[in-house]
Amino acid sequence: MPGESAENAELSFLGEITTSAAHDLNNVVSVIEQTAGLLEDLLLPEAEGAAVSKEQLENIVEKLNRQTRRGAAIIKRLKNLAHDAGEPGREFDAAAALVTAAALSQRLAERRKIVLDARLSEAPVAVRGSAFRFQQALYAALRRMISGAPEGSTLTLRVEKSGDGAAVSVTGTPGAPLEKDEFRFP
Amino acid sequence: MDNSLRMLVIDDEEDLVTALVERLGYRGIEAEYALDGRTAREKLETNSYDIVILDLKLPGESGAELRDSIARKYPELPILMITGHGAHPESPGSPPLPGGTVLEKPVNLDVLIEKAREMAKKR
Repeated sequence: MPGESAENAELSFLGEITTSAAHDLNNVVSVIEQTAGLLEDLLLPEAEGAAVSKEQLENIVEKLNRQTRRGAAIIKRLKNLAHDAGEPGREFDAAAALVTAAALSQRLAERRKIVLDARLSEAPVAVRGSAFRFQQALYAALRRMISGAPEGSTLTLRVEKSGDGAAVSVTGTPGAPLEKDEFRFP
Repeated sequence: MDNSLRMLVIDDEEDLVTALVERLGYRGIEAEYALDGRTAREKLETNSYDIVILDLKLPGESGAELRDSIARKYPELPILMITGHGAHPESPGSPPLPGGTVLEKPVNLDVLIEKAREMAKKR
């Protein structure tokens, strides 16, 4: 944001990411709680008359597995971000960091029914610097693009090697108020 | 005494809402679900409900916007909001919610049913 200090911008980024992750994890817990509750309901003595089908049990197991994988992925992204913050000068793969930043921004996009198309490039894009700051810059760019993109549109994220760093582009719908955003890192 | 309750649950978490609706059914509550505002409006047009349970965070149109729109069209229909956002349930600019109509996720099913019955009874 204009006039915002680097420290405030960092805190604001962390705050938004953790709020979003906490909300997503809360949903994961809610699903697991209700699904476990459903299993309890099915096992109650008064439910014995209506035999539990194999299909019902398979559905419950599938739901629990799906939510466990979802929760584990959220935790992994948060852990990676925390590690990145503590290692500002190492070499990292900007393509992998781009995919992580897109996943961290997913909730922002979903609110406006926007699809983020971020794919790993064929070869890693090795960059030296702070992966945390890279993701922060990308999140800020995505935030701008998401707020200006038409509802239901797709934002395409790409990264390529550029000198010693990386060039990132976020492309939206042609003719939209924010059609494209680009930045170089570092 | 008529103890029946017809409920529409609006939440985009499909795994959550399907489990919730099935559990409500085991408790004698006729519950249906909608994953977005458009489906919710269609169901409200064609079916009759005693109460709406609405998640504040929906993709596209927010839960608060949908609540306002439902409240305008069906002023007699109670709306019980649920949120995963704790102390900050409202989006900026949204009018304040009447007291006691928001439950925090994860929602306890017994509390949800008790609150829903209480609100439906006041219609």
